[in-house]
Amino acid sequence: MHKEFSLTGSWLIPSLVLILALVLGWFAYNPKITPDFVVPANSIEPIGPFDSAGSDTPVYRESFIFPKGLNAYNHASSLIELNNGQILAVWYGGSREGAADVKIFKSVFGPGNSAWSKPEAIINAAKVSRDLARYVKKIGNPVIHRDDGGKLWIFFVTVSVGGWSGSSLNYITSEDEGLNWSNTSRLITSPFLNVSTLVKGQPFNYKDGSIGLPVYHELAGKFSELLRISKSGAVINKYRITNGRKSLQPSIAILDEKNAIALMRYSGKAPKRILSSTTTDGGLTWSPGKKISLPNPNSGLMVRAVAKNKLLLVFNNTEHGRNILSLAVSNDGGKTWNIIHDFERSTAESKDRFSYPYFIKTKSGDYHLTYTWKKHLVKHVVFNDRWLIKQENN
Amino acid sequence: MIDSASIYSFFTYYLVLVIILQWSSRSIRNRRLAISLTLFAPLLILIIPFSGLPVFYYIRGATGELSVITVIILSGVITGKFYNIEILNKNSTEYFYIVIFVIGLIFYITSLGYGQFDPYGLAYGNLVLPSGLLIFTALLIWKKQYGLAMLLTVPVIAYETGVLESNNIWDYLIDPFLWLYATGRAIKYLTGFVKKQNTA
Repeated sequence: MHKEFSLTGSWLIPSLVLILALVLGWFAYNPKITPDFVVPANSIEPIGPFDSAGSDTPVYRESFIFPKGLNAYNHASSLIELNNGQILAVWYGGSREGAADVKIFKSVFGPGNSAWSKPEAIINAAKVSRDLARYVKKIGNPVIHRDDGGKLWIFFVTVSVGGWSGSSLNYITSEDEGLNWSNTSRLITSPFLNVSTLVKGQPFNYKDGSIGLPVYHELAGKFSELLRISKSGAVINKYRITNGRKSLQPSIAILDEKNAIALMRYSGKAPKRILSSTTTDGGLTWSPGKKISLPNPNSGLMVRAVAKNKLLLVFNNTEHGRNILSLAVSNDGGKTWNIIHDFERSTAESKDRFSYPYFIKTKSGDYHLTYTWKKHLVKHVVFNDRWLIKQENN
Repeated sequence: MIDSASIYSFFTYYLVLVIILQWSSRSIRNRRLAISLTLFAPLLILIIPFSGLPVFYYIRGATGELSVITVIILSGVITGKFYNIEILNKNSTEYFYIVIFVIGLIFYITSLGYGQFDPYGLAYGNLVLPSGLLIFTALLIWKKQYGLAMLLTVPVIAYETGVLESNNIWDYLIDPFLWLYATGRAIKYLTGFVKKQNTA
């Protein structure tokens, strides 16, 4: 026979004491210190007129990773430099966005070879379904990263039901520079049946070997978060960058071991501006998101530190449409910005779209930028420090 | 890939289907046939291939893993129906559903981005919450609330042994389906309570 349960009487005081102890213990337990960021070596040395490590002559080249015809739709490219100096690009493509035939592709560029290799499919929804023992309708947004042990990771989203806001995060890894890839594993990031966490921004490493992965939530609210992922692929922490319903696709630039700035896509009302938030404690806490001077038409962007306090930002320089893709430079850690170049400029009436920029700086000092070109191609732009100096001085 | 989370998921959907079939097979007069149908048909339904994948994969794709507390409640429904064994005492579970409703309300609103506080994010690898739950369980046992004690102990054990894919204790304690069910039960209980007060 069960005894009558009551929240009053003899239960009240012990229950309240326990709840109080739990709350206090919870906050006391949670580490208030995160590991230091690993500051990329090629974003510390000064560049520009002071000491250009790159070529003496400005370099600026444009090409496409593959010719027209590979897929009707290609999107969301990301890049990594391989140990031999080659550039490995990954993106997703298929007959249309979200189609069942979408695959994640890879292609390799250079060095000494100015052409991209023939694209190869790495993974598709059917393979992911088998790996995860669950139905996967579509895949997208691959982001490639190298951890501090040299292993390559591709983080990507999968959707089983509904649109992109129903995405879950997954990853595959490679121990041989991208030749072979592991089975898919899932990251558990959300209490809503693990849906609505998406990835777009460039990951980075922490000094304890964990990976920082900028992600965002799209179901009901739209806000940015930072995941810390262990070497074994488990989520260690999740830190909220912003809250509410207006910010997504954070791109994080590491300024030093503790400081970073996140710039975010803005989905709110006019004036449509890029949102910015900063951390001074390794990503544990973030300042409230605030608008900067540069516009954002609810589109993805990419920011990265390329020298001490010097940031490069590639973004759609318009409040509506994605017909202009520009490069901006900040020499004060993101406080002020100067637009120094338009990679693409088309009229608003053209409906041309240039979107989802992603760039890296290689050991040789070259910059490699890719972005979606009119939805069906991925454009690749190479430039160097001399070209940057020239553009800044123009 | 067969792992503990896959087996757990399969078992969860099996329980759900058993309950649905048990309810829908009440009109079958042959009790042995009804029980056989109720217990074995779900197995067949889950493994039937559809477009190359078993039905189980589609359900899992849509719902993911449900919480351990949900599975215990589902199990309680089945043991009650088939063996007349009530795992949970009705009086105590009504309070339990009210607690789940209140906690879930705060938990899901904050998880949807209302404010900077994120209780879900705080619980990765956090030992404080499971430890507190075990202490509370001791209190429940002392008060002879064995059903509630089990409801809290089993998820903590599952969390510590990593039965699910998640290393976040919340995923073992609550899921949106449980919260919706608890909300319905809490509203029903509170409405009845108010009516009772008014007629008294």
